[in-house]
Amino acid sequence: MTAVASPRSVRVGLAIVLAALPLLFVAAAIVVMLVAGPPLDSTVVTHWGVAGPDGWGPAWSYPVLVASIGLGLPVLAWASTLAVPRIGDAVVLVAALVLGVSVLLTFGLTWSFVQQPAAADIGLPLALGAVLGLALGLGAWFLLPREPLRGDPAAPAPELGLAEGQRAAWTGSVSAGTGLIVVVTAVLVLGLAVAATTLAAVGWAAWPSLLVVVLVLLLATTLRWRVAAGPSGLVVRSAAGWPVFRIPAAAIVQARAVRVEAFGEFGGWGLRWAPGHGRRGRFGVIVRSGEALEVTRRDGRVFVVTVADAETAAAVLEAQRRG
Amino acid sequence: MLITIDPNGGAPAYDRIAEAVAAQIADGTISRGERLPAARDLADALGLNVHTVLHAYQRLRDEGLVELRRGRGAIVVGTGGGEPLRRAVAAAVAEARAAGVALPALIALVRKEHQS
Repeated sequence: MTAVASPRSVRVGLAIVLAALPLLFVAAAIVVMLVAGPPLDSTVVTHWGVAGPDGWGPAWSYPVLVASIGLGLPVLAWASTLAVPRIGDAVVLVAALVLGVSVLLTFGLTWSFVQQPAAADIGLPLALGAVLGLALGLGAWFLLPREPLRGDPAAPAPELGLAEGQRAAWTGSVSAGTGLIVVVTAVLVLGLAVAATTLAAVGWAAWPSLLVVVLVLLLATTLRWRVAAGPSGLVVRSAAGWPVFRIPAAAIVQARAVRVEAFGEFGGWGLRWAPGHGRRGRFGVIVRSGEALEVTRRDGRVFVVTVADAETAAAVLEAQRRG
Repeated sequence: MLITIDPNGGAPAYDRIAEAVAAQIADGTISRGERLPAARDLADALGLNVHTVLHAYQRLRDEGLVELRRGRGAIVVGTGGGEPLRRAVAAAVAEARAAGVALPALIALVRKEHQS
């Protein structure tokens, strides 16, 4: 499924899915709306409640909405992919989702609009739009080419040269770049300020504003990690002591050093899941791009943690596995 | 940091950890000023209780090889003698073998020499 292609065809594929196709669909939708829909200066249903239509607005808001979301969203996504160095599964997943949502809204809104004012239904048009969007999204996921990993080592871990009965233990750590730490700290301070202001103004009824602080604190626990590999297997522990990931030695079938692109392959930093690389995808503790330890479990799941000297860590786990 | 531990010869785990670190300081794999892994991490890797590793670190402190500082972990203060010392030890071991001196007796000799 992970087609290997030259960067040019990868970029062209993304441009088709995120710019050309939405432009084509939205242009067709607007033509259909102008030809078959109610006059643009009439009043139509623009909002539905549980019991049916409960909001009315000018007809021209439909083509504007379709153009801004149906075309604006994918073009925005396309523009943001231009800065991504390697187009992997995570980016393709976003592209497929965005195309699906664009098709859903373009189709659903257009159909609902051309039925008006005789009928004002949104449920069926959106349901059919969802089916169409899902089909096109799946098509994009399977057809879009990906860029191959640059300098993917895939080299087996080096031998440690342990004597009979000797055991090796390796420890390492990884920390997010200063930029990321500054951003998280700034958001935490901002969140605290907002929560304090809200609590002071509204009283304890505004306690949910504290949830923002809890969320940012949880995020902060994923900035620094300590990694230990040895006879017990692999243990990856946040510097805060929690969360902890443990993979027992007996569950490991392969350990190797790889290079990862945080954005291209995992869509960002933190605790990440990325599709591809086998049926179950890869779970990653991703703090930066670059050197990482990749461990494949007996059940096929793959665990990745970005850490320096991953080669030695892989060698220790492999030595443990070989006996 | 990579730490290699010799097979179980009946010695307690903390002794084997302390000996492994001492040997790596002596042969220069771990140098003065380096920080040993946090006890929690080494315990994770070895599948041992954290107190076992702390016990090993305390032994290394008692031997003057590391300094334990609250919040900063174990810092190596001892140093290996490098290649000349290794050769001298090899010569002493060869001499002991030739004279039929057993290892515990040799170690006792070294300790006595080191203390005088």
